[in-house]
Amino acid sequence: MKRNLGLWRLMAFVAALSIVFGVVSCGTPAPAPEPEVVKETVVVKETVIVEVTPEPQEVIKETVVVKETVVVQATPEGPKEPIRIGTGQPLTGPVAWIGQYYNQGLTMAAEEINSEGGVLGHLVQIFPCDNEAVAEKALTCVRRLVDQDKVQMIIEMGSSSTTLAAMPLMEEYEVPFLAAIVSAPSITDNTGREGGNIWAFRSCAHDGMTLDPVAKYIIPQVDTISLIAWNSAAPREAAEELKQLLEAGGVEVLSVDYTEAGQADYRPVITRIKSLDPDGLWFSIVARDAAVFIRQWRELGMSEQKLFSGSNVVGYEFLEAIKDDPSLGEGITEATLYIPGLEPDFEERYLARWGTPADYIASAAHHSLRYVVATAAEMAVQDTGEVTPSSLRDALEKVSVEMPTFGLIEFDEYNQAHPDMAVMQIQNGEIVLLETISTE
Amino acid sequence: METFVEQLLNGLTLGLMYASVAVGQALIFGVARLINFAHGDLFMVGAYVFFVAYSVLGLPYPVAICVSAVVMFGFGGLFERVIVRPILDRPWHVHLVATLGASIILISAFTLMWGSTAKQVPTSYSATILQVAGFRVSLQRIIVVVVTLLSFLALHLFLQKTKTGKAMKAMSQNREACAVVGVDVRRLSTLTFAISCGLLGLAASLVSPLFTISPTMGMGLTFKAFAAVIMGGFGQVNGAIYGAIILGVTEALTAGYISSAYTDAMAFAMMILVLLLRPQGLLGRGKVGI
Repeated sequence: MKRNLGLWRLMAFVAALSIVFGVVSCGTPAPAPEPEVVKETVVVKETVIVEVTPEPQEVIKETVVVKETVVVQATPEGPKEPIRIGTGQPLTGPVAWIGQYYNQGLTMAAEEINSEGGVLGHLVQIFPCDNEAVAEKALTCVRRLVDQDKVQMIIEMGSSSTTLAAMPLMEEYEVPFLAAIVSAPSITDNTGREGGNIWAFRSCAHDGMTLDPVAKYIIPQVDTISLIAWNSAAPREAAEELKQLLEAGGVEVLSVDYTEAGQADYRPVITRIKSLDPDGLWFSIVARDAAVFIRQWRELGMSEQKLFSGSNVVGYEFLEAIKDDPSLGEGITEATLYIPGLEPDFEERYLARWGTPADYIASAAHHSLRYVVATAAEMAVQDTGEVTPSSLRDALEKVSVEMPTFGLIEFDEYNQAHPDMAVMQIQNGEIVLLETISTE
Repeated sequence: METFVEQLLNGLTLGLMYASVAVGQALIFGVARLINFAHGDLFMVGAYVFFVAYSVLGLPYPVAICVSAVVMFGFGGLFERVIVRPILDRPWHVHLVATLGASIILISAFTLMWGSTAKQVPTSYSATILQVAGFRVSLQRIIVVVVTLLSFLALHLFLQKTKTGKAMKAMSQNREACAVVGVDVRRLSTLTFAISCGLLGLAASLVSPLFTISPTMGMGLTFKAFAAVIMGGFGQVNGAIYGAIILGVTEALTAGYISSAYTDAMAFAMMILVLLLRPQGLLGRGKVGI
């Protein structure tokens, strides 16, 4: 009897847990769209009904229906094979927020493409895989995405270290890969047409391309500087490279520090920098941590130094985090690839869809699928009549597409694109564009 | 010299933050003989309760602190009844799996509910900067230090002066003997978890305005608290406080004079050093007892 009681308790606990998760999940958007092609045929009949009863509430219905009708018109012979896109992201763990933004951007792009009838009738499906930003799990993700989910292409691996780990396997599988946010220069060291990995492409600029203009911007403004970077592969590489560039330009680098993601207390590092009294500070800390950092920076009375940031601190997330005292961010200057405010339409749609402001990661994810991959897929269908890994790869090589805020995207002989970047500054709680720089 | 003193103060405040988590961990181990790997995640739950009370419901800061402490007191009792009690008499590896599992469930549940984006809950106290003995420090940080020390004093008095506290101490020394003489060991176990979580709720409400709140914020804290408990001597509440302060000061001096990239490595190296010199921990006597 006692044993049975234990069993009942266990079952009750599991049932309660299921209810909790069920309720919670109700308000949570699905991570990826799963288009139901059969439903679209039914929708056409609804169009007729909507057209004869154009009541205010049904006008909205009508808009949706018309969009979906296009699919049916474009595919009179029936549903076409969907384009299966995989993505490896940290969806759990300390940097899960990266995966969250990335998946939201990708999901939104897929929804938009599908609502317009897909890519020449091919709907886009997203297959996310949680790699927890761990190299070994990135390999597992690649195997799962290719062997099990049968994806034709993989977009992003979430971090430079996971990307570098997964690239050889993706090359072995002969599945095209597009890096859209990772910035370690070494990723495109051995890619492209000159005997390298021909399956890997990168649409964002790497630190080697962005740091030179950053250094040129900083050098005339300071004689001494301290550097702080997030203790991860790409920011570490960036800090080391920036140090060399600044020193070559005559700036004395007084200290280089690395901090952990989610670090709570920066006072010891700031206290040391305070004792060094530099003219400026360059900090490459993710926006969520940067808000904590800048509060402690000001708390210790640091107000004279010129502040330069990396890792897209100058953005909505940071402004939201310091909204109680916008003066905290005054004067922070950053040369970055994403320019908040230049795409109000996208930003409004993103906010409406996800309830949070878009950032660089979300924007890069959205645009890489919406513009680069969708264009390549369209070229692949036109050239070969189907979307296969090799037809997508061949098309990517020839892609030439104008991407909002990032400029013209074309891949060079290393399969590396050269998007534009901008210098922005926080002034009176708002982001002001100072100048645009080419990364060619 | 001024910088060194400032770094010591930085380490002291950081250590007190670790101590506020480690104290509950030590108390639980002392009374229930269980290492709670979800302890840092319970701190995270407390931080979200505070976030809801202060930012969502708009309650005044002192009221929000009380709400968080009280809710977490209840949540701790519930956690003990649902997760801990069924496995309390099982071997240590069952404790490990159960509490690690609870940790993962809590992180996943809060990620689903609140997303993985960090939340900030600054108060007017965190923006008020004071000049104390030549050092600039926010009023919030002073509140953290003062209230944390007061809570430790209250816990000390509770354990030394009250009948229930004395029963907890007795239970930490000999659980079976306590059961034989009529002490309700199950009720005390529940109460221990409730008190520990109440303290976590209090600590989370105090430090959240200085940092960020996210579902994964407790992961690192669990291990820091664990290190402090080991350094102080398993089950020694006062030892855990000393261990946590040593940990905090080590981290601050490492970040201040070497590099913040090595703070964790140096902190755990210090733990190993302490154990090499005193295998039973700073206040350990070779046996468990709070």
